Formats: sequence, structure tokens, C-alpha cells
Amino acid sequence: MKIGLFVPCYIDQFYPDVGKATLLILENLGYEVTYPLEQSCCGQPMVNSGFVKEGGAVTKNFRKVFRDCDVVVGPSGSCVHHLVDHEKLGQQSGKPEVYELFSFLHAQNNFPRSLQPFPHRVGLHYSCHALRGLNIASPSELVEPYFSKIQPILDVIPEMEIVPLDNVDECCGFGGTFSVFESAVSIDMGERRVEDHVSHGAEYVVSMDSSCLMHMEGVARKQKQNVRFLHLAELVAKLWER
Amino acid sequence: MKRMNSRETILQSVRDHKPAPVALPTRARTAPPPMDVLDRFVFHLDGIGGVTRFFESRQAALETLKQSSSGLMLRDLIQGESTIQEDSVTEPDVTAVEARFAVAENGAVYITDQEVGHRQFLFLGRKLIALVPQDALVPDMHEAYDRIKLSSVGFGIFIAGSSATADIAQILVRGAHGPAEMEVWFYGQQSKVMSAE
Amino acid sequence: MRTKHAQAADHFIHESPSPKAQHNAAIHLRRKRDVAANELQEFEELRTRASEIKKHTLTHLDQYLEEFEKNALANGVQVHWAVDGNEMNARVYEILKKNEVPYIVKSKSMLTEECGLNHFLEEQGMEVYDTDLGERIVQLAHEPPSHIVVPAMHKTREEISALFHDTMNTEAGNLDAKYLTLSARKDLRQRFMNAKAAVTGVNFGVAETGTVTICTNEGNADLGVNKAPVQIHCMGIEKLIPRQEDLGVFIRLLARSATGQRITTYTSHYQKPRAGSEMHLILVDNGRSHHLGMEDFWEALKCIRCGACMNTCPVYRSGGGHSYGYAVPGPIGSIIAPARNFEEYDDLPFASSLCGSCSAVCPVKIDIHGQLLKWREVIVEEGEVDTKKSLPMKVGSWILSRPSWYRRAGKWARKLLSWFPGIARKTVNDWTKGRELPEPPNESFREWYLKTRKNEENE
Ligand code: SF4
Repeated sequence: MKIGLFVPCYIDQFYPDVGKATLLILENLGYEVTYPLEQSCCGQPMVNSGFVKEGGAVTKNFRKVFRDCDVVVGPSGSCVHHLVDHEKLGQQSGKPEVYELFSFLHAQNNFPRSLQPFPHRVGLHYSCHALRGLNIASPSELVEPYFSKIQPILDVIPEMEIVPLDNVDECCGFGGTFSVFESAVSIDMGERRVEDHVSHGAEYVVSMDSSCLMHMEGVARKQKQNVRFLHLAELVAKLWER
Repeated sequence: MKRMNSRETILQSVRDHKPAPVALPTRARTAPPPMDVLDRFVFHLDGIGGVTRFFESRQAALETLKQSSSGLMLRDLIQGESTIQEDSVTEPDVTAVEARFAVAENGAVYITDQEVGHRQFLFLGRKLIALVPQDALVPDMHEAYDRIKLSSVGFGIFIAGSSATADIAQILVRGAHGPAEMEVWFYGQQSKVMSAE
Repeated sequence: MRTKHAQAADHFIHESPSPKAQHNAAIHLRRKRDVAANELQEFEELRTRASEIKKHTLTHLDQYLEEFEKNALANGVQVHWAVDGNEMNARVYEILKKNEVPYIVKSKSMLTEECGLNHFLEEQGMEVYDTDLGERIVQLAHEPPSHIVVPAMHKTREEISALFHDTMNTEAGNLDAKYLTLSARKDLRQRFMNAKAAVTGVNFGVAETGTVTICTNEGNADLGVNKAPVQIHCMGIEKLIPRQEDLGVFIRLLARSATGQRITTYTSHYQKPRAGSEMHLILVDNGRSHHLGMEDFWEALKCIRCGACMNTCPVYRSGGGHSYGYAVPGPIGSIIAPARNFEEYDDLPFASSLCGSCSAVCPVKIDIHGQLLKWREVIVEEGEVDTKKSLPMKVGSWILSRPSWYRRAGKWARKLLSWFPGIARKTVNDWTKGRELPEPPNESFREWYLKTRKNEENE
């Protein structure tokens, strides 16, 4: 199986450690991973703003770049959800199938067997697109037996305490261009999320989407809140026994 | 003339615009939870501030009604033994009515205009008491609607608990416009076959 | 002209006396909804069935309208049809005039809100008493409802106490909800007792039986209708369902989704007028039949107005119900409003982070956030988006579809953030109002990759 590593544009530019962590996890789990150098973006920012044509042009580049891969894996529920749900990648043509990193590990049932302890209080932020778009866990709205595809990872991190939250899966308010054009609402939403985590004693907020983390971290830093933000891939890479 | 036009205009517009037909789903029946129907009823009525009481027989219930409301204004729609003028708008302390059956999943009772005569009586006064045979208890609203025939009455209503509002700062207040209290009086024995009907 | 959502919401968050009241009230309802929903194993199946029944009805709406009318007429109901809001208002007024009605008691109806019935009647010199407590509060405050189930959701007890003191002469400073509620009851009691006409909305119309179903908690609709000699029900044509048994599905879902109740206190079924009184039914189109023809948006007509999508929506909870400027606020309003008046409401589909909670909570499974996204596409196609939005999109697309340009632009963007924070901040002013920018790293992932792995890879 040829795995193409997809590092979304803003992760490439602003969160390279998340890309590095993703690569490390995949390689540690025994996959052969290539990173096509001509990749850029998935096209979501345009499409979510209604610019379908413009987004399509960007996705075209994505298809071209990854056309030789069997599977594309990226550390962003949001971008992957766009590619799968809006651009229908992996559906008609079959190739390439696109996966969010942890959904991929779940599909493969291939998880790290043990990780180093992380003796901290952690607030989990399930990003909306990973949650309601990619079904990475049960959203709180649905009446169904609870599941979470990242549970096998959480289970092998000793001493980590997941804090309870008032609103377990409320949106952080990022929403791409929404964060700028509806900035007052977006900020209010971000503040509400940060407060939920902080008031429950979270030292870290962990998510599978860097965009949500960027937004909440931006809010928390503005408010001088003492809480840190980590992509789940970064956390796992950090705790991997070497 | 104009009315005819609007009717035709709307129907034609609907015909012109309606999407491709979608079939009516067939009915699936899911088993109600294992909890006893009577327990469920009591639980739910209690949850909305109502009171459930039990009597050996209808006669016993009616006796109690008469005794317990002595000195009070009672509008007894069951025996017609009101202590107030039937056609007056006076709001009694107690209104007693016969309900056809009760619904376990939500604490509601079903009443039609055939039981009350004047529909408005259900919404006047301080307390509403509904008498229901204990074997007339259905598990859920599907079975409730299976049991009734709307076309045979002018008015039918499910009442669950008392008139209520939480429109001011989510604080629940009973007696918004209708009765502030609701009691359901079961009489007789519960029949075992009822829920499987 | 109405204020656009972003501005109105900004104003609500920063200027209103109690911006958190709406959030607290709405999230409270969402939590109660979760408890009630989780009580039913078959909840998801019910949602699917409700959706299918509604789809079936809407795709056969002409037949069901005719069946409904036929059965209602046979029951002795007077049936009227109104192409738009003006006609509905005129019809109501006609009935009231003929019966020499001095005033009406009215229960909650989003349709009459949509058609401006109160305003119209008041212009004709007719008094209107909204009798639902929440609606009464906003009526006295001369405001529109901010929520379709809890109209005065945005108001605090303090505000209501002051309002009642001014309008009903209640005790100044008395914050007791019971006292305030019972004061409103007392104030309206004689109006009910002497009412000559009552106007209501409709939750469900049953074609098979000609039934008008009304769900309330206060008993105001039923008290009004059953006391007044003239009862008028205003009903949007999309409120139909085929059969009596279908009510089982919808009644189970409606209250649970709306407030977490298992059923509303009163679930009334009106078939026939009382002896000696009149029952009128007005079937209103007002853009619905046209909406039905919109391929991507017609399923919004499945809506049963439970308000769950508002309660769950973080945008609604932050910005408040008034910020939408439409009778039905929140996510569902943002797809209905542009379907009825595109020019006026083309900003509403952008008032969403597309988190999808609305679609997941909706008891009739409307793909609300999917439709919001679709609206954005339509609006962009129609050229209704200003250059402030469209230019970055076009430039962005151009750059991001060209890898080498993307690399240059990315580096430039990162440098700009670290070297000229002042300038960057100015250009991204909207972002930095409440958020810091990310601290840019020295190198991109790609640069790192080339540096550390370039031997293994050939470009
Ligand atoms: S769209 Fe769905 S959730 Fe929103 S009010 Fe309508 S039925 Fe309720």
C-alpha cells in the first residue's frame, strides 16, 4: 500500500511539527510513506465560502499530486472531510482514498501499543468536521451507543486525565472565513470553548484539527490563559517510546 | 370568486413545483422499554408535577372525589354533580373529568368533547382530576393514536400535567393560563394483556 | 433595511444588557432535549420516519391539500386559501369584521409573525392580545420574538419585571417568576373570558381527518379557541401530514426535541366547530409552493418548528435570535429566509461555522448545514458577494492551485507575520480583535522535509 502524506497548507506553513508527528506515527507503525512535494491545499477554504469553482481548481491539483497513491493520510479532519464529502474523493474512481490520520489507524486497527505517561489534565476537542463529518466519534446529538475511534490511543497513554466538559462537542467558532467575516460571534464562540476547558482544569487542549487549535490558542493567548494546545498527533509522537 | 382563484393558484403552483414522489415509509414497531407501563406512567406524571392515585373501583374514586371536595367548588363533569352553575364561567377549585385512557411514556391522558361537554371546562379552574380505568393504559403515542378515531369527535386532547410556562428565565411556573394542578386517578385492576393489544 | 447578521450579532454581543441570557436558556433546552431523546432507543428511527413522511407529503402536497380541505369542509370547517401574507391578513380581518369582533386573543404562530398579522390588524384599529407568556412579553416590549419556541428567551427576569411594572403596574423590583407569570395571567384573564375570536397557528394538519393539531404548554390556545365563538387557525401549507397515525411519530419527536418534555401539556385535535360557533382554517402559501420547486432547498419545508437547531447552534446562542432579522431565526431561518427573499437575506447562509450540529439534532433530518453551504454557492454564482470576500478567494485559488506560487506565498505570509506584526495585524484586524495570531515557525514542513529527507526523495 502506497501512502501519500497530505500536509494541509496551513499545517505546512504554521504547524510543521504536526506534519512531522504524522510522518513519525505512520512510519513507526510500519507504513511506507511518500510526501509529494507539489501539494498545497485541499480547496476547502474556497468551497466553504461558496467559491466552488475556485475550490475545484485547487482540488484538481490535489488529485494530480496524489494520483499515484493508494491512500492519502492527513492530520486534519476538516480538510479530509472536504475532500471526501464535497469533492467525493475515493468514491467514484476508488483512488486515492483519503483518510484523516486517526480514522486511518482505526480502519487499519493499527495503534501504538504503549506510550509514555502524560501526567496532565487534558481537554479533548473533537473538531466538528472529524466528528459530524467523518464520524470519528459519536456526536452528542445522536442517540447511539457511544464510540470514539481515538479511544485506543487514549487508552495507551498512562496517567493522562481527560477533563469533563460542559459542552463536549461544541464548535470552537473557527469556520474558515467565518472567523473573519463574523468575527464577533467567532470570538465569542472561541472564548466559550476556552473557558469550558480552563474552568475544568485542563492544562492542555488536544484536538485532531490544527485549525480549531489555532483559533482557540489565539483566544487563550489574547486572554493570557494558562493552557496549552496540542494536536493529538504531536502528543502521540511526543510520547512514543524511542 | 377570488377565494376560488387563490385556491387554484396555490394548488397549481404546488403541482408545478413539487419534487419527484417519495414513498410513504412503512411502519416499523420498536419494542417499548422493559419498564412496566404503570411505573412509567407514574414516573413521567410525577416528573411533570402531576399526581397519580389509585382506587379499588370507579365507585370508590367517585366517593373520594365527593368527600375530598366538600367545601370546595367542584365541577364534576362525570356525574354532573357540580356545586357550581354549569353554564357559568366561574373557575372552580376542582374540575373532574373522565379520560378515555392514559399514555405511559409521557404521563398524558386522552379526553374528548364527548366526556366534557363544554370544551372550555378543561382549561378553567385550579385543579384538574382525570379518572381513568387502570387497564386503559397504552405504552406510547403510536398505540395511543391506534386507539382513537379523531374523525368521530369534534375535539380530542392529550393533557399531560398542569398548564405550565418557563418563559421567564427558564423558571417553571404552573398555572400559566390553565389549571395549576393535575391528578390522574386510576381505578380497577391493570389488565395483563393491555400493552400487547 | 435590516442590519446584516454580522453587525447585528456584534452589536448584541457587545451592547446588549444581557448577552449571555440567550446562550444559557438555549443550551439548557439542548441538554434537556438530550435526556429526553436518549430515553428512546428508537429515536434515530423516528427521525428517519418523520423525515420520510414529510418528504412523502411534500411531494404529494396538492393531493393532501385537497384531501385535507375536503375532510375539513365535511366537518363544518370554513376553509380559506391565501396566496400570500397580505391575503391571509385580509381574510382574518374579513372574518373578524363580519363577526363584529372588537379584539382577538392570539396564541403563538410563526406564520402570523412571518405575515405581520398583528401589525396589519392594529393598523385597522383592531386590538391583538398575544397570550403566550413569551409572546406577550415581546409584544409589550415592542420587539419581535428571538426564538420560535421561547419568544422572550433573550430577556432577563430583571428586564421582564421592569417591563411588567411599566405596562401592567406590577410591583417594582419584584423578580419572582411566579408572581410575574401570574400577573400576566390575571391581566389577560378577562380578555379570554370575553373574547369573541381567537387566532392560532397550527402544528400539524392531518389530511385523512381534516384535523388541526396544536401543541402548547400554557393552555392559552385552547382556552382562547374554546371560549371564543369564532376560532381561526392560520396554517402554512407545508404543515400537512397524511394520516392520524403519523401524529404518533411527530408528537413523540416535537416536544422532546424542543424542550425535552415528553409531550407538551396540551396536544389538541380540532375537527369540528362547537355548536353555535365558527371554525375557520386559512391555508397559506406565501412563497412555500415556490420554495418547493427549489431542488436543493425544498427539504427545508419538512421543518416542524421545534427550535432544536437554534438551541444547539453556537452562532445563534452567541449572536442572539434578533441578529437574523427574520421571523424564523437560527440555522433553519437562514435557509428559509433567502428562499423567500433572496436579495434581503443573502448574508444569512454565511452566519454559520458549518459545524453541523443543527443537522444532527433536527428531528426531521433536514441537512441544514449542507443547505447553508449550497446557498453560499448560489449566492457566489449570482455575484452577490462583495470583493472583500471574493478577491481573496480568487487570488487564493489561483495561488493554491499552483504549487510553486504557493511555496513562495507561504514563505512570504510566514515572514510577514513575524517581521511586520503591525502591518499584518492591520490587515487581519478582524482576527486580532479577540485572538492572537499563531507564532510562525522558521521553516515549513516542506522545507524541513527537503532538508532532512531529500536524499530519499527525488522531486
Ligand atoms: S429545522 Fe429541524 S431542528 Fe430546526 S426548527 Fe425545524 S424541525 Fe426543529
